[in-house]
Amino acid sequence: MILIMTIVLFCIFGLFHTIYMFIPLYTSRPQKQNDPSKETGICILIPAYNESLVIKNCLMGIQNVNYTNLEVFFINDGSIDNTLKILDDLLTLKKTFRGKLGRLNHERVNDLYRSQRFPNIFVIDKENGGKADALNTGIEFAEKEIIITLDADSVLEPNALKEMNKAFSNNKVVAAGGLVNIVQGYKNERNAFTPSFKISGLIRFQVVQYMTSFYLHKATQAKLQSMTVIAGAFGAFRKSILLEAKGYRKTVGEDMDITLRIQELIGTKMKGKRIAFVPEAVCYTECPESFKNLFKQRIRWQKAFVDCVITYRKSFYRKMNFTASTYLLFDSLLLGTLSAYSTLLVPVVVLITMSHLKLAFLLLTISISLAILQNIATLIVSSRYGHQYEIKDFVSLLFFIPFEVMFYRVTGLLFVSIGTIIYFFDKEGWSRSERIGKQIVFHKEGNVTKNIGG
Amino acid sequence: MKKYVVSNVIFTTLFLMIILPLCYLLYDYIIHYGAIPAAAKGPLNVSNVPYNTVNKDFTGMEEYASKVVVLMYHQVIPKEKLEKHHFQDNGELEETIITLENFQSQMDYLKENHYTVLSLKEFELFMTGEKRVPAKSVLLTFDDGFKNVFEFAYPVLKDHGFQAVHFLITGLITKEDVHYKPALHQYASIDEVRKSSDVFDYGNHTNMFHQKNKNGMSFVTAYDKAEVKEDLVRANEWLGQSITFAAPYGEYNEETLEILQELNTKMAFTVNPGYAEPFGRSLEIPRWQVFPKLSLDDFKDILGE
Repeated sequence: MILIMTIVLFCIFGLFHTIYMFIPLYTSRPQKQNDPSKETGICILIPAYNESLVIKNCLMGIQNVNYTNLEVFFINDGSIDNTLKILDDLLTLKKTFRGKLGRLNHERVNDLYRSQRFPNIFVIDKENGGKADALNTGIEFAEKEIIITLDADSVLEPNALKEMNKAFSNNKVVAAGGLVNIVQGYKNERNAFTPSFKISGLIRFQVVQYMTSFYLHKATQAKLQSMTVIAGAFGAFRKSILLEAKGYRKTVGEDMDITLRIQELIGTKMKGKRIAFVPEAVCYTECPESFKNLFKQRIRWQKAFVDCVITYRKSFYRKMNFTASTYLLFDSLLLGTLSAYSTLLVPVVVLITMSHLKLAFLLLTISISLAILQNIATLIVSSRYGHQYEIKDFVSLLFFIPFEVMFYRVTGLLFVSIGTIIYFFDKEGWSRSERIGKQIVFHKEGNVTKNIGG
Repeated sequence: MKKYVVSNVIFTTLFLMIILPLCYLLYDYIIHYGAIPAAAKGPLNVSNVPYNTVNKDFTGMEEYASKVVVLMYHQVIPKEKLEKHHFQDNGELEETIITLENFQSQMDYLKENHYTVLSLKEFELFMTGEKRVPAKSVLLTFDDGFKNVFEFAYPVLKDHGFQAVHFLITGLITKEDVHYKPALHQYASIDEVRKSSDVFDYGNHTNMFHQKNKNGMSFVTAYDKAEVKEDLVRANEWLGQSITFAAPYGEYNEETLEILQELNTKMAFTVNPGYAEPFGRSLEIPRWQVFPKLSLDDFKDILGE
């Protein structure tokens, strides 16, 4: 019985992974370079809680952005370090006043500041209320049509907003996710910022995982209208849909929560609208460098996931459309979470009983082959978007793939299992990854997207 | 889109080259090893499997038998298809296996020396004293329902015009026909059972109770009477009608005999050597196991020559 279930699960697993390879390969193509879309107003919201280490990098990214119809809100969520002081030093803040929408509730705002050096940058100083609360405050003050949410450790690539704007020129798009790359997976060289693979195994694993997750998984999900998470590190929304969704909900994973809420709206009131994925719109974020911090981060993600599944359990297939529900329940829940247990259990059972060794070996071979093929597909697709490694890095990447499959994926399963168990004992609130503060040097024109087109 | 065609085609080819063979292997594994999970659910269709009512006329014989030799076989495998797992640790063939070559020569011997191989019906009538059978009569029996018996022994039996009784573990008879693979421990499929009914009469060898518990006791003696009975009833239902039974490992007790009486089982066989005599204990009929090392002379001894 366990054997049959394992094989059935395995077949579903193989099917999803095959889809994840072929849809991006055959459908992903970069947006036209010379698209003369008019600049729609964009408002960037950056919640910041004790971000003194990274806030400067984030600001630098924003100053380099090639976009004019833009306003930026740093939302200081009652930081107890000198985040506000650093912002003041960098921006020369001056108190200002602006009316609010009055549609969303949030903690008390102490002051609203405007930068005297960059008149489109604002700082909201408010009482601590968590990330969702900070974002809701930002939405209240925003006057532009498109809202972009950014983590304080996210650095925008100069052309990111232009590309995002192109995606929103389609009226059907109500929300979009950008591509998040890991900053440690790049190097500053000769005044350029290029992908590099001279990094530790733990970061390599995350780099490969992010690339697969964005270039393949998110691309596929967007194509099949089944995006379930717009990463909080870099998401874009029409303000109207955020208000329709009644803002952010205070939870462990507010990014997944808002995405599912939008999926509900698309499935009910706003049929025909869609969530897009824009791989040309790039931002860089830091990933945990130690196993302990990675563990914390992944446990938090898994808790957020379980929380959302439980919250939205009654909406699947009823309020949300078929593909979105199917992807979430089968791919993320069944394969990602539930099968983690059987996957961890099967080798143990096989070793104890010493039967079906051949089957175990066969399944392992198939998983490894699928994983390697998937990584190759990732490299093919990402190179189409200008994410190209030097030959030397490419070779070490190829050698890394088997390790990634054998060691790190198993570790990933462990995170998922432990996270799910912990969720039921301790549903924590606001917490986040460690901050490192790696320096980035951009070409003014941007360089990651420069290879596109032609 | 066109500029991606080359990389897409290369990748797709690579994908198919790697994944298709692996999928085939997985399919192969499921079909073959999955044989046990995919047990034949539907019972043997009785109307398709007539019980051999062969009842030859033995009148006018010079001599009639006072006792009959019952031979017991399990597996029959050609020499060249023997694999490592068919041998014991000491290098000798498992006791339940005899080579096809040996089997062939034993059958030839029976044929050449004018032995009468009885059908189950004839044997039953002999046991009840309703019929007299020729002096040189034998009953051939097979236990378990191994695929190799259907694959190799069946053609020999058919060729010689012999009949035999085959005791099936009905829960292990598979739904799907698969190829014979020496490496595997395969049981027959329901189709093979049906097709071979011209030679074999089928007997009850339990449904799923051909197992031993932790203490090495056969399920038939280890379990409660009601549970054993339920299993035997299930096997009988699968077989459609069964008048005969053989206990797994030859292990049985008083309760087993009670069950057999309650189920109207006409004959049951043991694994103890001896000869079958009319009016004997029809639920404890002795059988001679044909061991792999048995020479033709030993075989003749058993036949009482």
